[in-house]
Amino acid sequence: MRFLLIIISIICLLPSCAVKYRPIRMEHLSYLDTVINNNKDLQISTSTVDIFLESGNKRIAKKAHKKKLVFVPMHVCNLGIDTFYFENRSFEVFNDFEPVDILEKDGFYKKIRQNPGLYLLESGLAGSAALILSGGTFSILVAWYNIYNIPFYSGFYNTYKAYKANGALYRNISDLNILDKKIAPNQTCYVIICLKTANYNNLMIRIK
Amino acid sequence: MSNYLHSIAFVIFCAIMTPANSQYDFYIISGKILDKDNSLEVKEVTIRIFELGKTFKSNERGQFKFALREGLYNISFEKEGYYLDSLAIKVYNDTTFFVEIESIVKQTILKQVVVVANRKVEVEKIEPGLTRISQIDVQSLASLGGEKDIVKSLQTLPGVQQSFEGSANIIVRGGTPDQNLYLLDNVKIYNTNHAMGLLSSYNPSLVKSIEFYRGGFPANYGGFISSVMDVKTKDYIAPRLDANIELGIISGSANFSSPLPFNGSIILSARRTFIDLLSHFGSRYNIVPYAFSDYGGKLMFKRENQYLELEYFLSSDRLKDKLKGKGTNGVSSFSRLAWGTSMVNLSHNLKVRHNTDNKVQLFYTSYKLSSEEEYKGPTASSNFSGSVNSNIFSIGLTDRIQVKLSDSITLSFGGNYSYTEFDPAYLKGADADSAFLYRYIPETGIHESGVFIDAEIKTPWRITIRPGIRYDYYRTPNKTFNNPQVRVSAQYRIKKGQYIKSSYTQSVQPTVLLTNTGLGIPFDIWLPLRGNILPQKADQYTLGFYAGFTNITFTVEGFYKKMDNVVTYKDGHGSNDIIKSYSQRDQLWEQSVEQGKATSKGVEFFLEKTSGRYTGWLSYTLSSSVNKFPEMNNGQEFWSPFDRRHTINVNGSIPLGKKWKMNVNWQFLSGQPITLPKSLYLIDNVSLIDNHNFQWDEPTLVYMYGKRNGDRMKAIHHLDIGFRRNVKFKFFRGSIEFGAYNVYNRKNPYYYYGKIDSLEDGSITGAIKSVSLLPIIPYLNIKWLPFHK
Repeated sequence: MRFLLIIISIICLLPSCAVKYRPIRMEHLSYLDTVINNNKDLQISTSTVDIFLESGNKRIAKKAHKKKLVFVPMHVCNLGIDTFYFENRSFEVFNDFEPVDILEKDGFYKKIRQNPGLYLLESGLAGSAALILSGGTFSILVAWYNIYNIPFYSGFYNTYKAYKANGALYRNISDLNILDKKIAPNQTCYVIICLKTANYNNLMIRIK
Repeated sequence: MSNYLHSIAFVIFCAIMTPANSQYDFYIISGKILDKDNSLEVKEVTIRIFELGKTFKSNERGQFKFALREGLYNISFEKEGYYLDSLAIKVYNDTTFFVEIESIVKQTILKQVVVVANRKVEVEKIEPGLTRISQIDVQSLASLGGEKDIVKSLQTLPGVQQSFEGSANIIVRGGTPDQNLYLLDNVKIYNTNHAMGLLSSYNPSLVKSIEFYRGGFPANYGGFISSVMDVKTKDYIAPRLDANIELGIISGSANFSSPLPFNGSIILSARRTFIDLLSHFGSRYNIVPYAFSDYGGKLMFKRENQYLELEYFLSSDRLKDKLKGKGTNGVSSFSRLAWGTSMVNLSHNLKVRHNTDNKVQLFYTSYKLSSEEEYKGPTASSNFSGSVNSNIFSIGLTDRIQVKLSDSITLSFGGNYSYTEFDPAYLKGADADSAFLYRYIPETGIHESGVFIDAEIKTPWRITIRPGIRYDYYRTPNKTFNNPQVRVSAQYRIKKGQYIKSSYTQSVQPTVLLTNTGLGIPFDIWLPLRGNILPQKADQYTLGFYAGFTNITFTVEGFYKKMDNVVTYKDGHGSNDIIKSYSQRDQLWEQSVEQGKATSKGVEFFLEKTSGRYTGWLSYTLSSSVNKFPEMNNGQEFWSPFDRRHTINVNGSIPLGKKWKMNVNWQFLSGQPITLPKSLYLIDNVSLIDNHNFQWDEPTLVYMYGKRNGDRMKAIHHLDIGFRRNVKFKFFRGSIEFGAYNVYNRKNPYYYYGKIDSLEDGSITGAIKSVSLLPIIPYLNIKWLPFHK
């Protein structure tokens, strides 16, 4: 009985439901803060909006905040005559005069994605609880539990949902991530940059 | 603000400018912060930009980087334990520079030891038993009477114990206190204790670094079998006149350093206790008229590729007792016990080529002990004066050459010669009729010479080996001893920061120290090889795992040590036997000591957090040590008197707000072996006076003892807590420290005695009682830096 109670307690502690991912839309944001950079051909401005919160991905926004990651939406305009390539290590970002680490997409994706394994665990535990109850003497309780074993079914569904949402998130951030982005002459694009810091202010970029 | 601007900025500014790029809207300022004394990186230094109202920190490697717009900025560099430095910088380009900040530590209470690295265990170094102590470690120890002590800081490391509670002696891996080699700039120091063994005599204000080996000895060290404590004194050229004064409840010290012409420098230091001055307040306080003092001085001259230094060190202890009579019939008496050690060292270091260093040293070192008595009676015929003395001095020459043959091979070789003269015990004096001189032990000289070669070879297979050979030759008036020794260390790198290390070392010791064990007047007598006394020898095997992570160090090491020809007094004998030989001249001192075998083994664990808000370490040693002497304990093995099964040390440093820091130290030592009486009985003293009558005297009490060292004393443990903060007022700059030793007032046993009570029915009963010496001892320590505003 004690084991059963432990299992049910764990199930209760697990995240309730997986959530669908809503793609980030960046065009309609207002980019008012100009980023100081040393390449006169590049015009970079940022928005102070939390892109995940704004796009309705509340859980991801919360997770990013908890892990001290900020996703800065940027509007970049190449006024020069050469294509500009934001290669990793080709530029350095300073946040409030201090150097700040830029995370690559795989690095921050792993930190903010949903964990499908947890929902699978939920199913497994719910199934185990059912099996334990079947071997016991609480017949009414067993019958009730087996019929209404919602966590068992929902766990599988949530696993699938989380898996799909993660895929969508990965594709979206791959498209928007600043790293490895090429900007042709006279092209304007919207990108995001992930910084390992709690908040940002007075961003400066040094192109090497 | 003005304080910052007026602070004495000692900044060496090596700006490496990048090509001008005035179109930038901001520039990158980067660099490294170094300790001025030893050029090591200083981490977590606060860099304050006043114009921005912002602060940055240097990273683990002392590096910093930030961005600034064009303009003039005032920047300060702040770190606890260092003088504040500031500079004004005009930013118009990307700039890289190095800042040297000066440690307060070297001049004050914290002045103790090395700034090599915060990490005590040198994980990357090949020697398995090598430990380095940083000033931060010493500073973080709450100490007895507030006196920071470099030797005591070693006692918190695994495999190292103190001989008794509060002692500055160290017992390493089952050895005895005399089996440790104490070096000061590569010169042997015979006596390293003050205050009857409670403090070490190393003058901390002169000390730059300590390397402590308890295994895996390099081949250049000879003449010991248990450990090497290699203390290096400061060798930097003082940039400016500097001085400080420090006052504690036990002693006070003053230090002075100044630059000299021809790129030279002088450092002078003196320390003295106040205990004897307090005794002038009268006998009602019953204060022992004891005093200790030590003086150190160093003269240095540096050239591009050579370095010359002359060094002097003197440590002395005195215990006086004076009684004066009154009136014409009055008598006066005077007694004094004095002991101390001195050292003079002239050394020349020459960098022959870019890869070759040669260091030649000429030295003199001595130890003297003298117990004087003087009596002046009412008449001249009753006058008497005399002293019992023990002297030893050495003069010698050493040469060590180090050649870096390639990035993977470093060769080191050299030799040493010394002549040591022992006059271990003699009586010198005069009475009304004549002067007299009697040698309890004949004076003897010993020639010691040694050659060594070792090489550190890094192989491409993640293995580094250090094979070495040492050959020692000892010549006494009657005998010669040849002692080849093999020393090998090996290290295998599992992955970055993780190593397996192993070593095998042989070592030989030509001298013997006979001492009163325990607290009390130290009657240390150094003796050479003589008669049947053979050199002490040891073979040691070690194997360990060492891991160094970002801010955690973990080591586990096992050792097995076999010692031969170790010396101890025979049952029922002691230092009094030497004096006894005056009346019983057929008694030779060699007859009161015996040589035998000893074996010790154990495992040592060490876990340290080296950085962050909370730092500290935990060490645990599980060990055993047994002795076997042919004529003791029926030739059976018995526990060594310094065998302690478990030794635990916990040390932590906890910041309390921004200004105060709390240091906590807890130590646990298993009880030492002791031989206790199991029963007692009375023998009637009845003698026949004539054929009919008996004389009845008081009966004699006789103890029946159990097996030698078959019992154990109670375990020793104590908690020490200290609080420290730096103080900075307009007219006073320094620090205050207070705390207490043995906070929970544990009555740790120092010695045991038998207490006999007579019962009403005439029978007697006995009990074993323990005596403890160090209760809770509060302390207060103030240091003042008059030259630093």
